[in-house]
Amino acid sequence: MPNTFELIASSTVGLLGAASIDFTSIPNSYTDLCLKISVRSNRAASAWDNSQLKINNSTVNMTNRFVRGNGSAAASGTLTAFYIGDIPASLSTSNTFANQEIYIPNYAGSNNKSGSVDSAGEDNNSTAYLYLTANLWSQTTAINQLTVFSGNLDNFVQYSTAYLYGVKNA
Amino acid sequence: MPAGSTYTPIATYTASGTTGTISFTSIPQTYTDLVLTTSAQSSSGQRQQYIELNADTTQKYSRTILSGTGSSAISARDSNQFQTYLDYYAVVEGTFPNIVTTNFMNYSNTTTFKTMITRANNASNGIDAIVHLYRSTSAISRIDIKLNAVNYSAVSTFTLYGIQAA
Repeated sequence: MPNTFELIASSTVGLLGAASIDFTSIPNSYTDLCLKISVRSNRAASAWDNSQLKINNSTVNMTNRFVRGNGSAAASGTLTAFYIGDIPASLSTSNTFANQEIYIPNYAGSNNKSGSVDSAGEDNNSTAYLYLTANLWSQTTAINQLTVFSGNLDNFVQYSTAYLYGVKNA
Repeated sequence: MPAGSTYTPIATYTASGTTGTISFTSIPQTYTDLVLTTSAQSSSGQRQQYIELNADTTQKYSRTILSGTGSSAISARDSNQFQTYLDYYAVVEGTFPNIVTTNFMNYSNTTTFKTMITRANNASNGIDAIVHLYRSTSAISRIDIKLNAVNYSAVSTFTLYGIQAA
């Protein structure tokens, strides 16, 4: 039986850290994409950073709507970015990484591209963040590149990982 | 020895543009869980979509909802419904696709009521996380997905996957 949930590529950040995690030349032979991420930031003097996504090396034509819980309150908002979620930074509990999943159906088609995101960052402190997010990239171009980066332009630390899967509907 | 596939497409449909109902029938009972993924647009304006299980339209459905509108976070409940809606604010639009993923856990057992979890996403209107209960011990063998009052546009896709625990 053919493999219908298939690893396309993976990336693990090394000792020196990385400004981004980049998947290029994504084949157009799948139906949907699923990107699973585990990241922590080296942002100085802060407990939290955030991760965002570029599509085909672009951050334009993006809209976002989210609901967020931080352990004491729920909130909702909008952004003009493909916002993945808040991630632990240098002042967060050591060795804790955010857990994030992005699902993009019909990524190679000729329609605008919607993305569903679940993101969780827990650090056993008084504040942590759970995000549920709807994203829209208003472009009809097929997706061939995905880049995860820090919203504050800091680095991801060693042991951060990202796995890109292709999902086939037949 | 390579592992067998554990995330298997059972059936997939692209809407014809002439119907507001997509039906998955004769669902095999050989998987552990089901995952239904929809990327849907309507032929006209904002519409809600809902599911009926086993063609059952009696008042056996209930749900609890967590939503974000972009300005507020909301929780709500529906009880004793004739069907269960897959969205609250993350409705189907006519101009871009929304994404809805529904997990049906332990769908083939004949001992317990059936619990489902939905994530629905509409970047212009809202995000929903919904837990549904279908108060029937029957195995799920049919899922009908329906759009209120209008047809699905021909860019809409629907895929049902089976997940095996081993």
